[in-house]
Amino acid sequence: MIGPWILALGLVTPRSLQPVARDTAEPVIVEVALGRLTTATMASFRVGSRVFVPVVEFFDLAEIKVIHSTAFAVEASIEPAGIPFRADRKVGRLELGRTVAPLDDSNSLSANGMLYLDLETLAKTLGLQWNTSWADLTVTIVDPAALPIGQRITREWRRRTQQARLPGELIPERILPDDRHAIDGLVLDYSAYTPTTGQFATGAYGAALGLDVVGGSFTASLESQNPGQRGLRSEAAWAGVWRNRKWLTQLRLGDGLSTGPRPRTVRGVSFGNSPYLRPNALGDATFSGKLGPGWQVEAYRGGRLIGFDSVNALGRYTIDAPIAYGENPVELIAYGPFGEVRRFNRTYRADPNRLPNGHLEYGAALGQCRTDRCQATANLDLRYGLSRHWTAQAGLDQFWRPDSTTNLFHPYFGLSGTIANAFGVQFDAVANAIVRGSLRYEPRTSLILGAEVTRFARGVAEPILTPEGRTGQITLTGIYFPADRQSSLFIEGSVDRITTQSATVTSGRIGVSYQYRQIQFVPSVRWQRDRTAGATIKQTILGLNAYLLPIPELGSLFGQATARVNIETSGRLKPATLTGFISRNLRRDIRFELGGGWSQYQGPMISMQLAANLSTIRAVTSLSHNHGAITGNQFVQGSLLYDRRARRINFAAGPSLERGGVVGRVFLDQNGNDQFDSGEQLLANVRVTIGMETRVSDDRGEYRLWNIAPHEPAVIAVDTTTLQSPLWAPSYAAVSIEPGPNRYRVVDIPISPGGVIEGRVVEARDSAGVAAVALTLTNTATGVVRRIASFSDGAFYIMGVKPGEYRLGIDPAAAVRLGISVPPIGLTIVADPDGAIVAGVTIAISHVNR
Amino acid sequence: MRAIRIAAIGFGLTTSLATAQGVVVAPHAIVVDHRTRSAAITIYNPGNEPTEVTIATFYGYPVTDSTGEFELLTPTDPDPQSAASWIEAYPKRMMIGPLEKQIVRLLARPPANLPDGEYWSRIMIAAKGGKLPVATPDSGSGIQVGLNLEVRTILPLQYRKGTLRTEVGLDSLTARRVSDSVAVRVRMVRGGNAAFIGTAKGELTDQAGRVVGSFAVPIAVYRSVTPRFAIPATGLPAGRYRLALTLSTARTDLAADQLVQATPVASRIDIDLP
Repeated sequence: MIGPWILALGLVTPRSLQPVARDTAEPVIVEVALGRLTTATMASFRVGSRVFVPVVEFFDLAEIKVIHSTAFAVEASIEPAGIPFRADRKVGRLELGRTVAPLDDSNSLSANGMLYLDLETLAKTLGLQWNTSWADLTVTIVDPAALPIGQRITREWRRRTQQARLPGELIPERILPDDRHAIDGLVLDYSAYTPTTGQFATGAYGAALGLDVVGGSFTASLESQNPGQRGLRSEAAWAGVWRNRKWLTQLRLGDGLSTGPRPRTVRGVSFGNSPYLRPNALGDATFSGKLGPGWQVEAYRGGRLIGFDSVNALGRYTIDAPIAYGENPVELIAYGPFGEVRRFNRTYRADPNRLPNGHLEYGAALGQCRTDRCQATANLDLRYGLSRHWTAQAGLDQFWRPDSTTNLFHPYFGLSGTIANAFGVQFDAVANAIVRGSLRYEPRTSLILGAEVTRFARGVAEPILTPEGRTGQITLTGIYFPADRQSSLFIEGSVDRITTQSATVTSGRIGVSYQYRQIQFVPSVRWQRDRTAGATIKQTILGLNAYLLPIPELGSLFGQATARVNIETSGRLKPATLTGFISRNLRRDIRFELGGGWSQYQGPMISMQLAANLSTIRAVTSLSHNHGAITGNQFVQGSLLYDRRARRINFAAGPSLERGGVVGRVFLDQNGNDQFDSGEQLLANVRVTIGMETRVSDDRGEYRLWNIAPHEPAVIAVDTTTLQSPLWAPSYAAVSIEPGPNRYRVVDIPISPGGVIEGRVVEARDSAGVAAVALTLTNTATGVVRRIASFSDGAFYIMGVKPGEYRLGIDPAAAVRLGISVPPIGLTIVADPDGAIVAGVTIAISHVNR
Repeated sequence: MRAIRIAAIGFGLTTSLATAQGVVVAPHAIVVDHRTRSAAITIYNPGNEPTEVTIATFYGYPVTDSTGEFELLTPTDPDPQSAASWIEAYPKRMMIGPLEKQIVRLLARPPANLPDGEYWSRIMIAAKGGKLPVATPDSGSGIQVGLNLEVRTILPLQYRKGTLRTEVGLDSLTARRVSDSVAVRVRMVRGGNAAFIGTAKGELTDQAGRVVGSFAVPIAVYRSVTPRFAIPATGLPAGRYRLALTLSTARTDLAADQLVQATPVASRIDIDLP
């Protein structure tokens, strides 16, 4: 933007101007207009056809920052690039950045204690087009967009527009009622891992059955990880979800996990009021800071404007921005009063334990332990959002054992939150287990520092929640991006010190990631010191990982390949491991990998792997050669899904247990009853969106989607651009359903053969079109109202009108405003697959107040 | 019959890639297949005010005038190649808000028993409203900013049915020095049942075989044209030269599946430049 200004300076040709004697200049009052943005009346001078304007007043109008001014000189800064502007009659120079032009009596004058510049000189210097009208005593800068004021107004307009467009969520027009059955659906998950050596003796096999039983998920599974030693592991459970209840949203009977921060497997009952799927949004967080007076700040996330503010009298800005669980980076752009621009970022990390302010959740579980470390267990967990930034947690864990003297009782309390956004704090105290505090410092997206200190309880026999014998742990972590977060260059490190009753282990790691063209290098140093009674063992390991990204220039065969290399030394800095692998997709869903290497423990090794991630099955085949022997492994995993409506078994890659699906037909609803009737046309190649997924109807008009979350609303809509005729329209723009677990939900989608209504709004006396008249089209059967406005010539055009009877008239509010009364016109749109067109509709009005 | 002078010859004179008046239209050439009988165009309003858009169809194809300049011929008499009467836009009128886009579906309702071949129409997108920044000359002729103008964008549309074939014949290739250029004229007559959309490349070589001038311009031959091409000839010494002209159906600005492929054709002449 500044470029043209600099170039323009070279175009200034003061030689074409005649010297101006101060006494030949005629004082004039002109109105200076910066396009349509703003105007100001300025006392100027006229010399011939030229106008000399006061530089400081002009710069004030354009919001250019004036640093210093006298009757002979003006110094300013052109933002946002901060290009210096200097005009000095005594020195005879006009400077913009590095470009210099003469300044003399031909293009400047001093009067009234101010410097005046010929508008042509000034405008050309700044790269502006201007127009002078002496008849109107007006001077106009044609396109002031490059000036700071133009940039500010453009920015404000863009902000208003983006704000007006923010809510983009698809609102369902209809919510389909739940269709729970006593027993519905069927899902069968299977998996098998079979090595070539040992066959079934060392393989692992599993199968799980899922049903929808009275709206809940019933599951039963058998799993064999090592049949020779441990036998079959069986599990069965029923889980119900009541999404809209306040105090009981989930109940699980049978095998499952307990609740609370330290869940474990339990056979019994668990229940609570936490959401089945926790919404990602947590609430708002305040981002504030201090700038000079007159600044404005915009906050962006993912390129989207999420808030803005102007500084107050103290120069402080405050932006409340929506936040979600996890990291919330915010890009802040500050605009100064003279076009200055500063960019910086802040972040806010919301811990997964956090709850919205005033929100209370509980969870409880009781049952038999599924491990041999306890007989039975119970827990109660409570969490409460104390404020926007703090959440408290309390509860208890109880473990029963055959010997009641070794029972464990762990009441606990926790607190997590943030201080000034940049500091994340977490504190946990668990009786007979741990006291832990952690602090995270994250002032911007490019720096994260963390520290965690844990003290373990002593004297607890056979602890379950903590490692036996451990007494303390300190962990320090950090990651720094020298450039920015999107850069591949970063430095990360960690130090960990673990103390037990008999030893202290201190370890650390520091690594760097750097990408040069298509290769990413990750060198690292790891060190560890084990100090036991009477002995200290130290070792340092150097490592280098390198990742080769695809290089298209290598051709079709190798251009899509990726590779990775790992080199590591042993504790004595001698080579310990050298491996390399190259992989390439054979198809979109099949990947082949070949590699090999050497390690000091295993010697040379070659391996090959073929991984297929098909829509119907997932399979991994691997072969390796080591110590003269070839070993192979085969893993397969998949699911069988029963489609009740089509009485058909579908296949999926799985696992599919406790997931849901949608299936249905897209059809042309010629009789308008929203039901598929024999003879109605099934529509192929129609794109249907279900939540975030899309599917296209097949030749039978069927669409099918599996693997969506059950119990949570999913919005189904049709991409109308994929309908064969633009006149067709879905009977409902979007419908909301709640899928059940372990089954397909049947949702047929009726498409109405819509029509077009077109005509004009005219004045009765002369048939002249009347623009911008608000009209309403009301479906007499449903009462649904569509609102439109007439175009500039009075014409109106309504597309996608579903078959039915309608009333078309002037919007009542507009009729009152216009002082008219025009009875509505009755119209009929017939169901015509080719599209019904009702044209030539005329609405004549009189007594228009124009 | 009317002729509209145009500046570009692109896909049979592309006057689109429209950014004027704030609306942007994509794609800039439309091909409708007889099997699907529909296409879509996207209109985007990047401006800060609503724009009223009207879409209409008319029949026209590019021809050249006596000076070799392209213009759009709009016959008023019925023409069997015209698809204008049976191509409809939905919606054909709309208001597009600031930073909003509108997808317009084009639906073909061809007459029964339409013979195989290519049929042509033009899509006119008239945008009205908003502000149009207009640069003014330095003279005090008045300010022209913020005028509510109607800006029309014209897109070519080709409706294709069945097996298509195109070819072009070159005739009467001439070249002569005009001022500081070598003016090249050639008559191009299309064969087959589809327009020839491609690129015209010309090379001027001296007697040593060195290329001393060239041009490569997009070309569209719907029926016959006699365009004029110019090769800069400043400083070119007098003498004998060879001009080679090649027409091919290769285009860098259009997808290959939008082009009806044909065997390249070439012609050459030896000329004496004064």
